[in-house]
Amino acid sequence: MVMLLPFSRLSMEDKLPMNINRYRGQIALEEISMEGQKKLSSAHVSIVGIGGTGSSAAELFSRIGIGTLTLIDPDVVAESDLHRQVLYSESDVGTPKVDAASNRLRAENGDLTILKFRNRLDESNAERLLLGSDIIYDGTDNFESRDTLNRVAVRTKTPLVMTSAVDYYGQVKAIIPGVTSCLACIGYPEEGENISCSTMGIFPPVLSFVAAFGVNLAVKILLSLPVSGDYYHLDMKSLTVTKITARINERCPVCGSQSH
Amino acid sequence: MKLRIMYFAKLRDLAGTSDETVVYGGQTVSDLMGTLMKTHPGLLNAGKIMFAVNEQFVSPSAKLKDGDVVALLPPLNGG
Repeated sequence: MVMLLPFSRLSMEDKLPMNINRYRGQIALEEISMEGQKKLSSAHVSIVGIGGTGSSAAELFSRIGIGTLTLIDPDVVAESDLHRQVLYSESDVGTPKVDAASNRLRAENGDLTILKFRNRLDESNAERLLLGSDIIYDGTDNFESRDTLNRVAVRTKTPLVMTSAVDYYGQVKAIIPGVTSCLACIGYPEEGENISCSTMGIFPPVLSFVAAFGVNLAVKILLSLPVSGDYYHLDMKSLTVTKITARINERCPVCGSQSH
Repeated sequence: MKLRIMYFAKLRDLAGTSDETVVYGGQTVSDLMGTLMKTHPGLLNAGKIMFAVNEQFVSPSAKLKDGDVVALLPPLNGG
């Protein structure tokens, strides 16, 4: 079937921030349409941690035409990353992830603007590195960084999509300050023993699954579509997705004062 | 009271079951954890746990009632 898109309504003078033909397939979706694609193409998404979930998410954000990506990661590519971190190749081993990732993403989409910071995000630099973000995507791998992101997101009123994964499992939650619960509302720990993917093990497909889920939530937020703050637990062993209601905690030490 | 307990991710392995029904005489989620750790000593190695009752997150001090479904989830930190 040939889908006729309402391109005829656009005059030649319309300045579109993207190549329409490239995104024709997703513009055909009612929820995206031309208006939505314009929003995506002018959006700024910051990805903190471009490892397992972050690199899969970066590729999706790039391909769907997000206008600006900020990439934040202090690490270099290791050989042991290659089985699961989709942006990197053998020739990238030893290269800072932000450099290898930006080269790959630019090759995929020349219209993409990339800002890169080879930093470990913490309270002292977070607001500077995340300046101008419409959404923060959490691709970090430890409780402390995730807690920092949660606090910064709430403080700056910037939506955050949290993703995490280990073993065969993943967890995803949207935090929209003033609208949904935050991580502290549901008892997500501020700190704790961090069990890395390399020690606990990680089934690579779970990272793509989690990233796709997280990017979906991020796009919905950018398109002003309804998004709840529910917590999703993804299980690739039992092939289930469990949704748990995550209500605002009025006494939350992080967002409690904003939850009215 | 009778409760249904659901274990997620590695907690399933530590408890040796994905879900079970228990008869419980205490009051709170926190007390329940103490009981479950006696029944399933593997849970002593669980680290941090998040709790949901009837598909909604609660604090460890939340009170339980007959028929509640209690879910135990480990917060994942990897990425």
